[in-house]
Amino acid sequence: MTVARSRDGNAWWQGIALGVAALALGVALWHAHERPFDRDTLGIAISTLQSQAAEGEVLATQDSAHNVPAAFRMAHIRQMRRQLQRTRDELRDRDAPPALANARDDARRLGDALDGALVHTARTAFDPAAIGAFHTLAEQSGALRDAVDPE
Amino acid sequence: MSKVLEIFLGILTAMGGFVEVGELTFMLNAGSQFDYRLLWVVVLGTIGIITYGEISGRIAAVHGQPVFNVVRERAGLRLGMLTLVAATLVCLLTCAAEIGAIALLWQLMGGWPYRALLVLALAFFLVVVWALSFKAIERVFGLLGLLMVVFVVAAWQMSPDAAEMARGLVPTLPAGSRDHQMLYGYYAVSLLSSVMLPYETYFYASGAIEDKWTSRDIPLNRVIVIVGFSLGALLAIALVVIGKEFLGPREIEAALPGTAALSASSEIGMAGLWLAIAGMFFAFAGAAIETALSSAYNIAQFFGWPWGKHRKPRDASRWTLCWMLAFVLATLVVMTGVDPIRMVEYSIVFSVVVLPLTYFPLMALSRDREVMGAYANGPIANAFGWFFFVLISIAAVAAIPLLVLTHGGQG
Repeated sequence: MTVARSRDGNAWWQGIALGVAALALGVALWHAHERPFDRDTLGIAISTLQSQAAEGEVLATQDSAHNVPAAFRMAHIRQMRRQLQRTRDELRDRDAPPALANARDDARRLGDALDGALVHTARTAFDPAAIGAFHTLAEQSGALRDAVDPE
Repeated sequence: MSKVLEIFLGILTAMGGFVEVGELTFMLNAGSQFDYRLLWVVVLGTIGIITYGEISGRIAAVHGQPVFNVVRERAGLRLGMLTLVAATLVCLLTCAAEIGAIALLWQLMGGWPYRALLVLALAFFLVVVWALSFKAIERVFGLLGLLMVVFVVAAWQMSPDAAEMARGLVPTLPAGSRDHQMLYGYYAVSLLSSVMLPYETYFYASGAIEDKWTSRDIPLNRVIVIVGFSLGALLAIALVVIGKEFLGPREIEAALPGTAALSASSEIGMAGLWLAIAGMFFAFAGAAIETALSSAYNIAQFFGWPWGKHRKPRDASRWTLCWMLAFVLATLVVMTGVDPIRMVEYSIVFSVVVLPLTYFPLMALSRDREVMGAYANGPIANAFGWFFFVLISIAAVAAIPLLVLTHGGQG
């Protein structure tokens, strides 16, 4: 009986601790998402652009090699654009300190250009020029990320 | 002969059901970000899931008790309830992510609207789980999940450096900034959790009872977990190789199932693409069913309701309602538009917090000679069991701070 009561007491404390931990985590993540960009978080957003541009290059290359059907190409680009939109929204909505404002504006432009390249590739099959366009965007994004967050 | 066939099919089923969408993305990204430096975690996690899979299967075979029956008996009502709520939430989130990933896969084949595909996936699961027997579900999704072997072939064709892979079996902190090392820690915890996901033991032990195992099936249990999970780990290692050789040099972060399919098509062409999509479909669908059924198993076992596919739905009505509700709730979660891949990553990190709560009661019962008799843990099972219990407890404490400090695992 005493053991059972002690277990119940522990359970209450563990339940409260778990609830507090979940709340703290929620607040921490919300705060991290709402606060202005710093070098780390802007670097992460630009890395996402770089990753998507590099994936666009792979997709265009596979498309040129006739390794992917048209339905796959169009649907995958649709899914990529949905993810890209999240990053573009973040770049549009989050403030940046003056030291990072130009880099954030460059990242916005890269995001827009990447979206345009994806739309073009969805409409145009087997376009070798798309490979080069994505490659350039990936390189530009990589260079911008390295400038923002050299680590 | 039928015993040999049963072992063979059991091994293949365990292998085919090893990878789900969270594990797929974590393995690919671990290879992409840290080359082979996290291979040791895959091996360690596999030994861990073998240890606790064996223990849960043995308890089910000898004592006829599934996991949440043990949790309630050993942890008491309130602590048990806490474990039940946490485990069910993690199962639901994982199930939601698998359903979302399946809709993404179907969209790749035909381009239909995502939300319509989510509804179609819900209908598919309700019909399949209602109509098929437990054995048929286990075999169909486990065996067809073996199409994921296409990733092993693709990884092989990428000619990975065996010496470098061998070096990855020894834990080494990567050079670089403190942030990068913290990200390594986050990936180590997440990979361990993704390999040792708690629903695997819930489903495995409940399945042993569904299949009416007895103490005579203990050798079968051992062979299936050791060989089946080890072969499953080969799939996971192949994904790390693809991450390192294909995604890493291009600095691509895998965030969609289509990214994984592209890696297969790059090596094997169009056939590789389709095989990868089909393999992922059966693997993710198997995981969705396992997590939904696990939610229902856990609740029914905790409250002592009749449960199991071996019963007619009207004889286990509350259990049947629970798995149906699990599918419906999981679908509603992804209907909100939340990114299923991002969600499963969070769910995997939270899973590690649930693991010690699940594994401690299993350890306590499995070493109890009064209950288990001659089938109680020997020194090896005890040593491995306690080692992994301590390890996952440390991982559970580190998981949330690492999640926050690495900006949700992004760097």
